[in-house]
Amino acid sequence: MPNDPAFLALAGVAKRYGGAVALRDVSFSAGRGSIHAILGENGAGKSTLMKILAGAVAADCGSVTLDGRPLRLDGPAAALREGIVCIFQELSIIPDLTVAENICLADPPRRRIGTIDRGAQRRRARAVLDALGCGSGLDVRARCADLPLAKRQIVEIAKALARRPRVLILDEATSALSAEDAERVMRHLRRLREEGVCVLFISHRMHEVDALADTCSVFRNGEHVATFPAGSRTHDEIVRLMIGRSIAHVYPPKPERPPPAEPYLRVRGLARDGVLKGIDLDVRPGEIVGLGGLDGQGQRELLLALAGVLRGTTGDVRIGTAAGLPSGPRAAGGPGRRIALIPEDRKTEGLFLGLSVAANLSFAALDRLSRCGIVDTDAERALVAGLAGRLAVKAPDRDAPVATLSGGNQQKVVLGKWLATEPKLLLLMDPTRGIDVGTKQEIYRLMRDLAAAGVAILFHSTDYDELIGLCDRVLVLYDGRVAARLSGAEITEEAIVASALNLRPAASAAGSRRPHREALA
Amino acid sequence: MTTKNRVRRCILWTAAAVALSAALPAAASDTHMPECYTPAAGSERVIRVEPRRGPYRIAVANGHTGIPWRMQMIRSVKAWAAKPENAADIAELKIVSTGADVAAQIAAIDNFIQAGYDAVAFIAVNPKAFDAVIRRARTAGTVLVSFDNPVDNPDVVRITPEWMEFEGAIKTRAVLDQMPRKAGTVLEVRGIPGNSTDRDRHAGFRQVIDEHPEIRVVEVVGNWDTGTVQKVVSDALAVHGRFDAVVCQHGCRGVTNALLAAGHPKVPVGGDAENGFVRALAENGIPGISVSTSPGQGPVAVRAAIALLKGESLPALVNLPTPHVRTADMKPGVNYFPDMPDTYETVSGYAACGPDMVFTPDELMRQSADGN
Amino acid sequence: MIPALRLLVRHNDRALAAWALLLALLLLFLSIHPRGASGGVLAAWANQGVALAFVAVGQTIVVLTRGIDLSAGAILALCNCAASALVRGDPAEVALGIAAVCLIGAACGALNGLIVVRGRIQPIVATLATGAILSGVALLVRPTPGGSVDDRLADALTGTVGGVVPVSLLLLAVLVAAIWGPVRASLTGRTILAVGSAEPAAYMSGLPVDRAKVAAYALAGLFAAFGGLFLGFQTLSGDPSVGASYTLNSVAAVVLGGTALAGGAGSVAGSIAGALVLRTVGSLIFFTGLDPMAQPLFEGAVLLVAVALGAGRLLRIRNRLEVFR
Repeated sequence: MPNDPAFLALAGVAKRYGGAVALRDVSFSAGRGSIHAILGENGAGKSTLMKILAGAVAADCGSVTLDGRPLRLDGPAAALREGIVCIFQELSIIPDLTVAENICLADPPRRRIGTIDRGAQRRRARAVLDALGCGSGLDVRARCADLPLAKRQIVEIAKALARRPRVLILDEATSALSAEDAERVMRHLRRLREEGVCVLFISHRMHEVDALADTCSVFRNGEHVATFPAGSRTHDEIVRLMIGRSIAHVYPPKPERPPPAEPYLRVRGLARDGVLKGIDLDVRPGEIVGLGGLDGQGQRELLLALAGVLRGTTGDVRIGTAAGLPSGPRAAGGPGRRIALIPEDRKTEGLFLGLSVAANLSFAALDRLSRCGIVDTDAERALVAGLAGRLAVKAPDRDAPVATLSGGNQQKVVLGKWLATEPKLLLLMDPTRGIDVGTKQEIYRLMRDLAAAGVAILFHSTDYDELIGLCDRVLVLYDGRVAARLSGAEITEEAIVASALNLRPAASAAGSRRPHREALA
Repeated sequence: MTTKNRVRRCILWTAAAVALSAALPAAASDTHMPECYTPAAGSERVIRVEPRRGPYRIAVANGHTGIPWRMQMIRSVKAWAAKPENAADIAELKIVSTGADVAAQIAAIDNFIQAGYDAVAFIAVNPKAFDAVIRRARTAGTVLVSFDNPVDNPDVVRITPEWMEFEGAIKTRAVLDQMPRKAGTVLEVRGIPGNSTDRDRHAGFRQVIDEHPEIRVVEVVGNWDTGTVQKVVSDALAVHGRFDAVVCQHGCRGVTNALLAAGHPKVPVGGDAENGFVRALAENGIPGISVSTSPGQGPVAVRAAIALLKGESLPALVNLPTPHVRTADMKPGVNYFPDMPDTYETVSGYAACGPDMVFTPDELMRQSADGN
Repeated sequence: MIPALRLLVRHNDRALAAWALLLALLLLFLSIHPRGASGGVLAAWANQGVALAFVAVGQTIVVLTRGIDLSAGAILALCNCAASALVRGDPAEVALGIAAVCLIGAACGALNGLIVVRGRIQPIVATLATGAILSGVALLVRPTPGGSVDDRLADALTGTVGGVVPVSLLLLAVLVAAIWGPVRASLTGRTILAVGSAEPAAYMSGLPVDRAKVAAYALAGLFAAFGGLFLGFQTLSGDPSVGASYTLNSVAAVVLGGTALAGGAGSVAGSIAGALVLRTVGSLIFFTGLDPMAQPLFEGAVLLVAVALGAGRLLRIRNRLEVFR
């Protein structure tokens, strides 16, 4: 297979949305049989570039050539015909169709009269899943809406592979996968590279980039700033390229010792059939407690249960002065408990995408802004201005729909919306997923400031780095139980990974448990 | 369709009609109770069926629901059937209302045919849609009688007021008589557009009013609904200032309400026979006329069905006499009832059709308006 | 691995519930009918529901795309009036007339589809407007009820086969199987479902979204035409004002049949059951002698209970967020 370095080439591509420049004169090429990482902060233009290649967005000018031939990408169907296949972060699967129907979606096996051959379709879907190695335990006749997010992402990947791409584009496509499945997908991508496929790979997870990419390109402010062989620059250098400056301290410093206050959240024996199997935990005001572990070990359910979303959860719970779990998010946010939950999916559970930044920011606090049921608009304006300033939300203006903001700024709005309620207990579910480095730092600083102001924070992250750098204590969940309680210097990558896999190689893991158990007793 | 076909179809129909009527011929003069079941002008056709022994199973298939007139019709059918001399002829009386959907009404009649009822009296929701079901009824030996909104089919007895005369010679003529000066502007309040009854009544009105070319006519559409009528009349008053007379088809309490609310001078008003309207004329001394299409049509139709089953013959198209009263002749307790609701139809039945066709309010209110 | 039958039941639970409800109501109806079960009774029962069932089938296809067709009743009325002028004469003329009426219905539907797709107008607004226009056209074609329809064919289609099975039900089953069956199994049919389930995802997957939408509305028009034709065979005439009740009743039938108004999931078979349930409820009411004034109330109550039972899955949901899915 000839390794043609300019298999896919863009020349002078530009795109602006109204006044905002998304891409400025981008020239860029990627080779056949290579895995090419695209790096950059959110808003750097990566997504626009991918959308142009996928035919979802038309470039204002410039050309795209594939294998020496200029392309006209006037719609997703045209891009797919050329063999350019995208796996989007926002899933493109059809929830009401089955796994097999989704995998064979646009080009199902058909009988001679044009009707779809469902048997052949199931076999083809099964074959693709088997080739990917992630198919076990996935019934191709199941409806996708009934699958958990991680499985749906596998279907999304299989659907792209079923189209036999020449150019495969992954936009944070492994973010929801379990570690094992992510590893299998990466293995498969390497196999595709050997078969001559050009893989473009967007990720914010540097360890994936290190493991996979052979070439890296960095984008900043809509411009292509550098392309270099993977491994030729250090992480610090890459981060500097991305944000144009070096970061002195990525994480704010932790306080010397946690405050000796009474726990604000006290949980004993929290259980929910099959998912949570007796969890004990305390969170004190001023403390950031991390929740780690492999995907799907109960972290999500634990946070949802504390916010009162899950029915049928049992256990002895005290939050602030209130005993028992709240009956729903409204009760959770009420005066007794003052809980705020930053949900996992900001687009559906966190934001009203069509409404303005200002409206989104004030929604959760309307209760306290109202007098006799009438919203005090002056107070609302003051609150919104305060929050937007404090969070440095970058928006054209505060009446712009929140959908027009970048992912990082959207997440800031979600945070701001809950900060407006002045919570005493903040539950965060992977708040930095798919967010650029700069915004991540701002969010870390904000969390630390909130803790310093006496807020108790329970923080679930899929990024071990965050748990190590940010948290005062870390609980690692495994199979619905707390596998390890780490604090201070015990919070190391080795300890977290080992506990996440329920291994106990490091002596410190065993040693670290006992004192915490005693502290709880 | 080709001409040949049309001719062939025509011959077929005529043959069928001849076969039917020729089987049991009867002269027009021999029909049952001609003072009540008066043949329509120009209609020679007579219907007669093979007599059978009673008592009979009778059904009434009403269409539209929720109209006070229809509810009173149902009550009067029950009140009539409850009289001992009539009860002897009736083994079972079933009354259903199927709503505005023609398919549902056809299915209801089919169900009665299937269930072996002897006769079905019905108010068709559509005059054209019942040819097939009329054929099925004939095959099964079920007698159909169509009333109020009659079907366009000469093979069943149809009972209806003569709408041209009703609106023209009676109502409009009386309004003109009571106008001091046969000039100025007359407001015509029409019914539901496109409905054949509205079309006929409008034609009757024009026939009379056109004799006075110096009278200007303003038309508004009231949909036979009191609320709508009141609104459109108020609007017309706002635009035109005043009228010299009003001729209203139905929902005419809306007219008197609008006139009284506007402080309009008392000009002649022709309208329906709902208690509210008649009271408004009588108690305010507004000159005018109340012309009735009585819900008593229901029992008249049921009695026609029983007469046919007993072997009597009836005209194929019956025009009922039209009861009416002018303001000067209105008497409380006779022409209007201070204790009854405004929607009560003051003419409870057709006196010309015999003493059993007159009902007191008490008799009617004892009956429920539902199907049993 | 879950057995295929259980998957089938799980994916079609609401349509199956609608059929179970229909069966129960039909048995109740036959047991209180003075004549009991007979071919004639069944034919009368089926005939009154088949026109609505046809419209409901078309409505379902549009609802699957997350659209709605508020012109369905108007297309039915227009086709009914057209049928009363075209479907008569010798057999060849009758056949041509039927074909012409079907074409009119499909063309009206395709027009809806093109307005929705090209004009980027909300279906509810676009079809409300076309519905008003088509009602007007129907009034022009036939200002008052009238016309005639071939009565031999009408008798055949409203009768029974062997005195037992209503021809109208067979007609419904055959037409739906012969038209929606192949479309459902084609890429267009799959796209119809995909568009309703997640339109952006369907577009990004390269599916022929626009074609599928136009096809869905055209099919809805065609099935409304079948409804209008059948009504013609029932009444042997055309009536321009007949459509009004069919639009909303077809939507009610779709909901009863378990199709989500949010699109993506549902079945035509369920809607047929829904339509027949609505009609059976009407028949039951007058044979049980309920107050006719209570009929709309009773029908509404049945609709509410059926939909609530269909929503019974919500009671089982443990994660409160899933309620909003």
